[in-house]
Amino acid sequence: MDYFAENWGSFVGLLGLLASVGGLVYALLARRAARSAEQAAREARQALTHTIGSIDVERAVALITRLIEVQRQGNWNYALALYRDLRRTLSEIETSIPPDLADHRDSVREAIPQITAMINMANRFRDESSDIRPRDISNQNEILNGIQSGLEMLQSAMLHLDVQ
Amino acid sequence: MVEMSDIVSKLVERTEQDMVPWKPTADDATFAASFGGLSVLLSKEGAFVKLSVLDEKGTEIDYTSIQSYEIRELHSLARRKALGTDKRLAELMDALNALPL
Repeated sequence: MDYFAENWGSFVGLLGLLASVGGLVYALLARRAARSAEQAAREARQALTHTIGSIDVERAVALITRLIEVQRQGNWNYALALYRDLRRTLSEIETSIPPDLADHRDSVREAIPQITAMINMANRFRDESSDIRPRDISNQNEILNGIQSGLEMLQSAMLHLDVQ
Repeated sequence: MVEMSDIVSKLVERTEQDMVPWKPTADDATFAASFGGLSVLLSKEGAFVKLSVLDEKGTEIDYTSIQSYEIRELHSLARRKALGTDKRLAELMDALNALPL
């Protein structure tokens, strides 16, 4: 008891030190938990963006397949509606591509004016069907097939990112 | 304010410096180039050449359709760049030079 009475100041100091260490540990744990929650939210947002992007890519590929068929039938009014839908979908895909896939984003960006050029052609063909040359249709199909291949590569790259 | 005529002049200058990524389109007489989110389409329509500026969604935000010497020169330059004409002609010249005497 005498020992405690003589050294009570040291015990109080030790208790204070323990309390400070405890507070520091608590603060570190709380910060880590907050960071984990923030990271989890960011990862969930990225996963959602990738999923939406992936759905849009599938939709764009389906639109291209349909467009090639509709152009073969010469239904230019329907082709125009599909082209506009495809251009809008590509624009949505472009915004959902993660920064790691910048080359793919550039390909999608370059595809958008190509679609506008084909919309101009389809408008002309609808109004003046005599203007259509077989070469024009094969050019359109070639560009559409190129865009489709690019989208399939993008889809594969997005899946690869998700796996990582 | 930037005028479309300024854009035409700048495109001629930068195309001559081989800095504009002209690409062919499905239309033989139309060429496209993208710059980040914006892009341009250059089309020949009879005696006129139309230059359209497109936004990120591919919507035309401005255009000019004229028949000046400068824009016809731009169309010719864009065509050569998009089709790689200079390179192909050099290949042809090499092939001709390689023919036996």
